[in-house]
Amino acid sequence: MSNYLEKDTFRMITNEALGGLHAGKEMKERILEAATHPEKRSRTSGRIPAFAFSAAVMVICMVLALPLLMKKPVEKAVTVSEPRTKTAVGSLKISSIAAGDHKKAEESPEAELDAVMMERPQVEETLFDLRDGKPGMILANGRYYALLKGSLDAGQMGETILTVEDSVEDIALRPAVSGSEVISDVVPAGAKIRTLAGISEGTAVACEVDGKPRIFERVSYAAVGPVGETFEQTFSVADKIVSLEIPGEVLLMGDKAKEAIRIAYSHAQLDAQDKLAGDTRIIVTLENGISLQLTTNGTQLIGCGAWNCPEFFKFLDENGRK
Amino acid sequence: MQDTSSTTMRPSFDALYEEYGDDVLRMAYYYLADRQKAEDVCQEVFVRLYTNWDKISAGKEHAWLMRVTVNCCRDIWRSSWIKRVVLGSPQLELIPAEDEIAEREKKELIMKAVYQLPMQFREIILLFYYQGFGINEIAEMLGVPDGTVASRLSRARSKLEKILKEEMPNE
Repeated sequence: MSNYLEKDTFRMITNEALGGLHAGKEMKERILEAATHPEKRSRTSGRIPAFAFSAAVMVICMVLALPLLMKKPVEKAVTVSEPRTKTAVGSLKISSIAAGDHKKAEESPEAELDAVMMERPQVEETLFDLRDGKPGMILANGRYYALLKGSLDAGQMGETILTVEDSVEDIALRPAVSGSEVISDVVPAGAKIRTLAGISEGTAVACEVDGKPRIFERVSYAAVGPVGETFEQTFSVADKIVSLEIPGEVLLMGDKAKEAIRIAYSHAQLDAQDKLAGDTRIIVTLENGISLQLTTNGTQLIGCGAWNCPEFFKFLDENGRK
Repeated sequence: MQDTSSTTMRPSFDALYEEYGDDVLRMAYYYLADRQKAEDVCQEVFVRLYTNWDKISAGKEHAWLMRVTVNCCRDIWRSSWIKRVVLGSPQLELIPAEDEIAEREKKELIMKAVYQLPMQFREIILLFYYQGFGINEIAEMLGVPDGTVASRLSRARSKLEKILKEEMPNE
């Protein structure tokens, strides 16, 4: 088996392992029907949302049913000092396919939904400008930056620091290789990456998207987060903050907002490198009108990296509850 | 395209479907671990082959089919909801081969080890070892430099060997 990584051997193993999957005559007939009568075509893209919707319904049902099944009261109040409730998501276990089984997929047993509780960021409330469900990204010198919603005044852009070398379809499929690449899945090659006036490159940068200046905030992505940096070095804005808000829950203004972030500077401990976002957002507005985003998950404060900092949430609880 | 058994220099649509239909279906299944979606991808790929027949260079059909397969699978994979919620941890179930149990288990371990690889490594392994393309062909297909493909292939092999060493320490 040691020669499995030879082309012929690998192909033989794969074909044996998946030999029950066969593109037969029935499928060819469906293909020709779809190609010659596109109006009758059953499109993949139509099935995926339906599939996702079905999964979503199942997940929601699970979320609603789990507390009843466990005979525990549903937590209705969420405080910032406690771990936040998480949305349940499922993982699919694909049913096995017997050798020689040429049944159509519709005839195969339904996939099983394992009841696994996982974190799912509430991305619909995010400041990230989502495209296909994820924010447009720039990867520059080993740092990932996510595109935020809203435009920026041209005067708020500083000097040019880098130029995008390559435009890729999806940055998730093009991980950093050299560590010094400058690539993006939202701006074209040649785009100039500039500083954001008064803000360090460790926190955010600016770049034009479709001709408009936009903010790209530094994030953890693809297991790349802070590199020997403190929370302060990745979110160095405390002296410029005018407000800090968890919409509907917490609002801190002026010095209190600055103090909250400084508490995080003093106490935050890096927990994880690969979290893009948690389940609740914190909007941090600066003197120049720019808003940046942090998110939270339990006692984690998530920006570039997930930082454990109960002291920060205790401060919010004591000073900023609405 | 009107005639599926065209008399041009290239193989007919029927011949291409015969030769590569299973490859497309299995590649898609290996990507997505979902038979229904693999069939959808296979259908989509061959519909595109049919409708783009005149635009595809003779002799490049295999590469074209695999590029479209990869792109269709990526489209599905990229969908945030699918990726995070549903495909986060699908389990690939294989069709057992008709040979010795121990040998079969090893083959399953190899298949599942490949499936454990991150997407960008998995697709390189499949295109290189399963579909038999060269580095430069894959680079052209994926729109990345040769060096990137070579680097990913090397890293994919290392990861694969590490996984298999843990799974089969006596091999």
